[in-house]
Amino acid sequence: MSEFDDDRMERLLGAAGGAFPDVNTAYAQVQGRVRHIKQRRSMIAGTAACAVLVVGGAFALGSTGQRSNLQPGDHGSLSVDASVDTQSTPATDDTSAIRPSTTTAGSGAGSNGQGTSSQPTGPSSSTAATTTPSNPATADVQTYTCAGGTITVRLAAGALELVSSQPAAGFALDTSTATATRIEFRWRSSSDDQSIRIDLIGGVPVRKV
Amino acid sequence: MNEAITTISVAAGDSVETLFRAHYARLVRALAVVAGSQEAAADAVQEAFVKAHLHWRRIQRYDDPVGWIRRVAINKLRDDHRRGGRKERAVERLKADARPDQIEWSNGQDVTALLAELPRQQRLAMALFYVEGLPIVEVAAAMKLSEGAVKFHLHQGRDRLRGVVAISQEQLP
Repeated sequence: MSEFDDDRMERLLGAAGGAFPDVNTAYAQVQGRVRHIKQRRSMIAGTAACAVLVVGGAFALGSTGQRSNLQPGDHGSLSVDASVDTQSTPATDDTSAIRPSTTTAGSGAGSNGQGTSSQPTGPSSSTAATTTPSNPATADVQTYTCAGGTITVRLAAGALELVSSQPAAGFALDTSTATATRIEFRWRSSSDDQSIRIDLIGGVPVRKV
Repeated sequence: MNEAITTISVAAGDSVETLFRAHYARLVRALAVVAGSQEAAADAVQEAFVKAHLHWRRIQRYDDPVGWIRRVAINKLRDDHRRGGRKERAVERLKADARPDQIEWSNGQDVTALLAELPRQQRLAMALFYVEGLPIVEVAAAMKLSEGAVKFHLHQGRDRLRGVVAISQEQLP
């Protein structure tokens, strides 16, 4: 029994509290509000997921484009890569001059592949084929590949130009250099470190191991 | 009396609906005393139960889920009061019309008008104690006050109401 128990106060305040509300109706209203909020939440979540996908895709495209735009006058990596792939041949060795290649770093050294009849098969013919092109867009664009990634380089007006670069799966760009006489890319993965370096020596791009 | 009413414990497995059916009506009536309108009180209590519904996995692990719901509803009323919403206007309207010598004690609206003259803390303490039937310790928890402070508010509020009741009864023929 509390010192504050007071039947009269209870009656007075009980009267102020009003009649007992209808619990069933009120609970139906609560359920309706809960349902409405859940629907709104799921709609917002769906919209947000779509937005994240769109922004993520745009960001991925943007970052890819940024990596390939280290030099003015570059082309989009996808289109350039496609044009280069059509003329790529197995590499012969890493000390050769400009050489369309699909080999990976390490495997290219000392391996002598057979060129096709339309492609250079040795250092001398390769140099001749690439330094005196009638169409620079096709003849002077070369792709170099290693385990860490791929770069595409063009020889224009006696200078090297980077067309595109693309890290291999699991690798990320570490450092890059792109000058008129040297283009060097280094990619790093969690357990590996790979690089490609192309020097312009005597007007001829030469890959250094 | 209070203990008998308020010991509706939250057993394991109780759902929001169980709590709603056990506590909704008393909570609405108590907060109607504070808000001056049962509609405003019902709105606040329903919103508190909606929040409980949405976060029930977490709230059901609390020691006192009903206490949490009560505090949410009280906070909602307080926020509405601060914003000067319809609840406050309803109380102010009733307050303007209220005169102790014309109070009809059987009329809940008249009593509400009289209560509107009490400070808010006193009103809330009295509503939770006399209408919802909470023990002082639970009133203190709901108001985030000490038990001594709650007793002070109950004393003050009861004395003021008793004074007004005495005046009105003296004026009865």
